[in-house]
Amino acid sequence: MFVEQLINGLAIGTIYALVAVGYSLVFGILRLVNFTHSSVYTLGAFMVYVGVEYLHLNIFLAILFSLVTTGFAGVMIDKMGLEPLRKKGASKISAMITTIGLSYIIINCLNIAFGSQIIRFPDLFNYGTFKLLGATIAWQQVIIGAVALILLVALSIFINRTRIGLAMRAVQQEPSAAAINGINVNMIISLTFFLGAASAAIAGTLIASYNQYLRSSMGDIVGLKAFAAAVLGGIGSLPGSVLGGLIIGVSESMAVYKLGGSYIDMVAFSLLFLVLLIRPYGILGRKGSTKV
Amino acid sequence: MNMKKENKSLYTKAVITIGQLWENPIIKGIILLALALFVYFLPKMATLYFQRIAIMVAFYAIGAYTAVLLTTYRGTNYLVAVILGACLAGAFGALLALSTMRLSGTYVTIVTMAFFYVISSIILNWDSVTKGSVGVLNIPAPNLFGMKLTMKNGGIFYLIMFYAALTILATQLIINSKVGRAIKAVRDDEMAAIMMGINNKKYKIIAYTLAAFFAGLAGTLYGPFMGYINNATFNYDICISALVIVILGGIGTVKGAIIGAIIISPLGELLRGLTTFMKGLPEWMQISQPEQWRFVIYGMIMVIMMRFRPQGILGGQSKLPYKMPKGVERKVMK
Amino acid sequence: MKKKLCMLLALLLVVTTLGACGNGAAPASTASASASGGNPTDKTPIKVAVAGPLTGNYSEYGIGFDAACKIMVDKWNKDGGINGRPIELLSYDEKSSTEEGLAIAQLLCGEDNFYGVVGHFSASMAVGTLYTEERVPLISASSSSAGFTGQGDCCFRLNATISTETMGMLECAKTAGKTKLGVVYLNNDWGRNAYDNLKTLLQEKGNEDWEIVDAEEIAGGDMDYNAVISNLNAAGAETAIMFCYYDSVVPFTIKARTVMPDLNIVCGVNCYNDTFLKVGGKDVEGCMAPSVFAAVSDDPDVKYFVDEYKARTTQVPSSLTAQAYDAMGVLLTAIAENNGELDKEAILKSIQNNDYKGVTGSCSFSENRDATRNFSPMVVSNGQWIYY
Repeated sequence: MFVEQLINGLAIGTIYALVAVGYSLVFGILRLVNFTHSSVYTLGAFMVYVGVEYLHLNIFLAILFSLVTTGFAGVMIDKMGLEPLRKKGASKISAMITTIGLSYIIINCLNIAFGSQIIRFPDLFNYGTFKLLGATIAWQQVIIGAVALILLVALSIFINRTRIGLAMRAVQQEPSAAAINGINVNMIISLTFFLGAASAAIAGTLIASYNQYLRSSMGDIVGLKAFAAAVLGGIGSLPGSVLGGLIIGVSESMAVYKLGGSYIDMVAFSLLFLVLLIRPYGILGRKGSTKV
Repeated sequence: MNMKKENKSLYTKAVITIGQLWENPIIKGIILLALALFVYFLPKMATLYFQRIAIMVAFYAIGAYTAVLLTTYRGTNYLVAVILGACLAGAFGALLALSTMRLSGTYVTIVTMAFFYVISSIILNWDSVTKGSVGVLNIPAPNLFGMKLTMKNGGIFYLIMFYAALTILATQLIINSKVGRAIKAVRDDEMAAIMMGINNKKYKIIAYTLAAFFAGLAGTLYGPFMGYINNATFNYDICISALVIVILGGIGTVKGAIIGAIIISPLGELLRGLTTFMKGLPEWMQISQPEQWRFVIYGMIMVIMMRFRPQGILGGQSKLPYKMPKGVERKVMK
Repeated sequence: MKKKLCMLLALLLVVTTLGACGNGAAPASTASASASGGNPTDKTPIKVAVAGPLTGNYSEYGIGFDAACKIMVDKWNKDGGINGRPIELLSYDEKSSTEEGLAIAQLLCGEDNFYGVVGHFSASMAVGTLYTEERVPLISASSSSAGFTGQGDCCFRLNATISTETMGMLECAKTAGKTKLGVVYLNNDWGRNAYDNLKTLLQEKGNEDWEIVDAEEIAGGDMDYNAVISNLNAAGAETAIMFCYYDSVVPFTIKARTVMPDLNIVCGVNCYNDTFLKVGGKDVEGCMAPSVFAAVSDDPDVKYFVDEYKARTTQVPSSLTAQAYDAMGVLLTAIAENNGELDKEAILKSIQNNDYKGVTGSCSFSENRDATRNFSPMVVSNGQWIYY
């Protein structure tokens, strides 16, 4: 029973982690909480649905289609919404409100186009169940966990081992110094948005196929939880996001196991509240310097 | 027949009259606005002045629940319940301020948000006291000095007006006092304020406490006004619509909140009217459920305002000379 | 300047509102005098309303209420209206929010020539008192909260009370021969009430036929149901009694099929709808629900309603939708019975004493204004709800 709940928690936790990474990437570079992230996650899942249902694509082509369109949407969010604000030197709060506004637009457009009811989504990897230590585990849980983990590892290799990743880290530390060294800062920011959006799209697709349905409000809760996960682990830190995601995922399934389903939100956010009181920058986060 | 009509609430009468005069959804919207403005946005008017973006719904809920539970189940006098509700909210505000002391910027927002979820989760799960999702039914009408203020006799509306006037007055007084100026300084540039010798921690706590107090005060109105509250009453959407309103009018000003509410509140009604209007149009011009566009419009307002007028439609730098406290002289340097 | 402007605005607002209130009395009373006369040549429309969530999480129900009431009103208008007067249906969107519902109720109470409301979903527990004060009949097609009709003598319920519905669900479990119950209930007023009610029912019955082996409270919406299913599995539940809306039942069922293929899922009346079948697909096959309405019935009234509803919405009407259809029928019949005298008290009395026979069976009300409902167990087979 415990093992079963642990696996449940880890499966959903990796998804939180994948979404949390997106928050973290953007926050690392822009010091901005990107509230469009949860709607981009929803958009990603819907794009796969559009690919399969309306464009009659093969499922893998549909996922590719979703990755490209959603990633592009991420870039557009930055180019249309945030870049003009940066040029103007607007305050952080303006950028944050802009992302809230954009996410409202995206979600409600989806709502108008597809309705607010649940829509069936194709099941990508339903291979039944197996027994482990007396626990019944669905293969799909293992698969989504594995896919998410592989992506996270790939992303971290990309950031830590490639030249573009180096440029990303440089912009993260000091944008103006990076620009002086010949890094195209705006390009790097766009790339970050693309990566964040694409990872959200994959996470959205994984969840939609895990649950076998999607709807326009599917990002609300996951977005918040993933955000909490990112902050819990230390926003801006990639391993931190993964850790945060897993902690929140497991603590939720344990809440259902021990306390009851309605304690789900309370556990996640109380945890966040407590961690921030003890470690104001999250578990693995570092304190940034204050510029005067 | 006439007698029965005479009994109709003042509010209903207003709707009838105006409806007959103009048959216009905009006008109906303005009446709804009166409700929306005072019940939803009163706390924001006061609070956004102190803390730029704080999710005050949590305090609003604390005030509302304290007052409602006391009056409904303990039979406490309405005034006492209101004061207790507002004070409890204020106390929580101080608590939150103390716990966020080590945090800055975005993290404060995040913790405030987490605080909101924890509070709403407590309301949901501590149902032996709060009645959770079942909600509190039959909330008694406020009883002031032997006079029952109900929807029917319009008393609630006078009460709301009174609260609004009180809050605006108090906010203005605080803003123009020494405390208010210190809070403003900390809000606008914390580092500079510290350099000037302002105790930033003290004023942060004061600001939070005051903000939470006013939010709680406004919350105490909610229960008797709606007659029913449950855990779902206080949700994230309220925060968003409040946010749109203050952004449109101008963040951090009382005036802004009022103007924003006047423009935004009838929007739902307007779009509802659009449904009727569109029935007359040829089919290809019809949009299904135009009301859904309301939220898209909300989003657009946020984006466009932030891009072009982050200070709000009427906002901007005050051209008036800065009001000096007593005993301070203004010397013009030549 | 800033301060002055702000004060001015506040003052303006107060004055306008007060002014509006003050002027209200005169035109209101003159209008009502002309309206209530039973003049046969009078062509002023008789207004009735339907309110429900057309948008938001529960839009499924509101859209159904709306369409069903339109069909009923159109049917009456085709037959010449009431006493030669046309019927006008006001339709309002409750947006799945209590406040919005209350605002609608306030608007409706201000309407002239207005005689009743069918519906309300999210706000049904908040609006009853107001309608009772204004003597407007409210017939709910969906409320099952115990306190609903207690709000006042204008609130009628054309839906089963929680205990009747729960009894129906228990019968479903018994019919299927799987009586070890795992209760899954939503953490809202309906879900919690229903679960408490189930416990009381079993205590009264001496707990002989059924046994609750596990109870799980869920947050609803887009949560991960695996954790809940693991708990049910460990407790050895044979039947899942679902006190939640179809948007939780379908995701739950899909997940349960993988881990617990033999679980018998019994859902509430609210799952008897087309979206449930469409989204659930092959996974909801075998799900059971008690229902007062069967779209597969041969009854001509039912056929007319189902065909008309299909033509307008391309869907098969749900059980709650059918109740909304009947509720509008009850209301219009009651208004028509008092054709000369459009007196609200008389209409209320007619609703109370109606002997209307609708698509969901007899619609007569008890002294507590609750309708008696007769359930039959239904099951999903080949993508359709049929009698078990």
